[in-house]
Amino acid sequence: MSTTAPPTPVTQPRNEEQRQREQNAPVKISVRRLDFFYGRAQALHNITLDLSERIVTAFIGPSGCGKSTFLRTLNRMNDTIPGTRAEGEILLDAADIYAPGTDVVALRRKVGMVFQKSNPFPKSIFDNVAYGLRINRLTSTKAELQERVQEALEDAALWTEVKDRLKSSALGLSGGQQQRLCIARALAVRPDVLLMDEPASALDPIATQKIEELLFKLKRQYTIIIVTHNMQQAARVSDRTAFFWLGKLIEFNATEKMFTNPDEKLTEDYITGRFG
Amino acid sequence: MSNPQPALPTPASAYGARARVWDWRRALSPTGDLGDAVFRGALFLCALLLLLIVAAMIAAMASMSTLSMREFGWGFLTSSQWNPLANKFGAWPFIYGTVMSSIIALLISVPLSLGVAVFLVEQAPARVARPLTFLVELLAAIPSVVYGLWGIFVLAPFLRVHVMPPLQNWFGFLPLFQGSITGISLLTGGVILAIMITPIISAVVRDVLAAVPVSQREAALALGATRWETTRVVLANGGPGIAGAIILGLGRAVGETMAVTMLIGNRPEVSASLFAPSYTIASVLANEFREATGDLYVSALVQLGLILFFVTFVINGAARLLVWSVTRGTSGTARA
Repeated sequence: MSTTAPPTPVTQPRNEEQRQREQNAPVKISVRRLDFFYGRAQALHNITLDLSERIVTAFIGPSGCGKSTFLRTLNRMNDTIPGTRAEGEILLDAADIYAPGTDVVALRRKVGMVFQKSNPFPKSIFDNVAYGLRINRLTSTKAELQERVQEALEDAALWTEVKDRLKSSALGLSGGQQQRLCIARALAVRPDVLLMDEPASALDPIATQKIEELLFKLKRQYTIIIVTHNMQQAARVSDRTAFFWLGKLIEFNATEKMFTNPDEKLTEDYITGRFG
Repeated sequence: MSNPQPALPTPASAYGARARVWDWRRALSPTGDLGDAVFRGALFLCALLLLLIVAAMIAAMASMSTLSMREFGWGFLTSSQWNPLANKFGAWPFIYGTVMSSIIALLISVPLSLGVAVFLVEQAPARVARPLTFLVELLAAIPSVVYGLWGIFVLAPFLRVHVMPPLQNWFGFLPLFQGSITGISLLTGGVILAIMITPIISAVVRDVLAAVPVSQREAALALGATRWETTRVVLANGGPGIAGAIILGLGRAVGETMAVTMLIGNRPEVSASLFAPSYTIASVLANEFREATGDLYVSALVQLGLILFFVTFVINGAARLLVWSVTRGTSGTARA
């Protein structure tokens, strides 16, 4: 019997209805026996888990545990790194995204991504959000384009702050605004899944809070997967949490359970701060 | 000492009496060490010497060309007459030849260089890109007289036989492609310049593109951009630097002497045809100084040199500024 006090982070309160919804959420992404290699070094070992629709799933674990690598396999962003190789299956809506002949461009439109460091293009605020719409030809008229840009900025809770300066450079925004702009840019193409790689790690607490509030709102529409270093953040924003350690998935459970009564000793040790 | 805070020793009092009078050693070195002072003084003289050389060049050229400036005034720039026997000198044929050959060079070289640079940075795997980059940089180091020789024996005959006749057949209605075909022409000079500046432009553009942060490429890719669309984002990021690279190439083309002299025909005439011989400022300087008789002749040539000096000076300055605006700061963290 473990005698340690329960972990400190406070999970979000939830009622029975929410719990039901979470339990019954259909599977969006199904990962089966995934191994991943950087050259000869194996970064992920035999990962198997199901990511559910319209649920926020958090990946936690110490630095170098493979959580970011795993996130980047979900939209095949690792393809850009020479010498990487994935084995196993990742089924998105039951289709293997690593199958030969997969349209990676279409995949990435379906699976959007927000990066750790905000990376707006050196263009205007409007053009940043419109970029994905334009290259994918998702709008046919100028009015429609403007509408979608506004909608994305509203979804990212940025509209009121930038509506009067859509034509000015995105690089003039604050760090937190830039990150929300990147979220708006990702949302504009209406992806099914939103991958977030430590989206708030470079932000101050107030900007972080705004991003977290945003996640609550967005999960009604999107399947969100977030990598975070910050366990309080994982506890606050996620419905399910996966704990990675040395490239292995140690535990994957409802966040509430994960932070109060984890199944694995290793998870408990990490969450209570014994290592990591 | 009238120090209001005598408790704290001022530097002067801390260093003792020697610091109170002016001391050349202390002026040159904060520690007052003799070796340091000599070393710093020597370096300073080296830097100063460079400035002095440039200043001396400008002064000498300005003074030597006063004769021609007084004689012809601003008309020197626009007159097409270059007649040493009649003591009539005008720069226009050389300015025209220099500008046109450089424009031809840029028209050919810019798309080629961008292609090479994009391939090296965005497409080629490392084991191909590395030797290829090395090769491109090596090309920039080949002496221009070698390019000229190759131009005479290979390029000029090739253009005469395989390029100019078809051009004349198809576009002969344009004045640009009329006239007799000899192979030694403005076009040939422009093409050899294009070949010579391509390694320079592509090497600089390569550096500029490599300095564009990976996060920009990832941002585009994550939104469903194709390789081509991602490349466009990268090119847009490197815009000013690419402009700088092109201007740097232009500077080289404008000042290039040997290869062009061997291929352009060296005739001081302005012809509408690209197939006609022409002359550049650099070429006329190289060719005619030895046989320049008479003060006015020499003075006119020096004035041409002065024009070339200022043009290349401005071009290179602008280019460096643009390249610097892109690669500064980002080059260290480009791959972070």
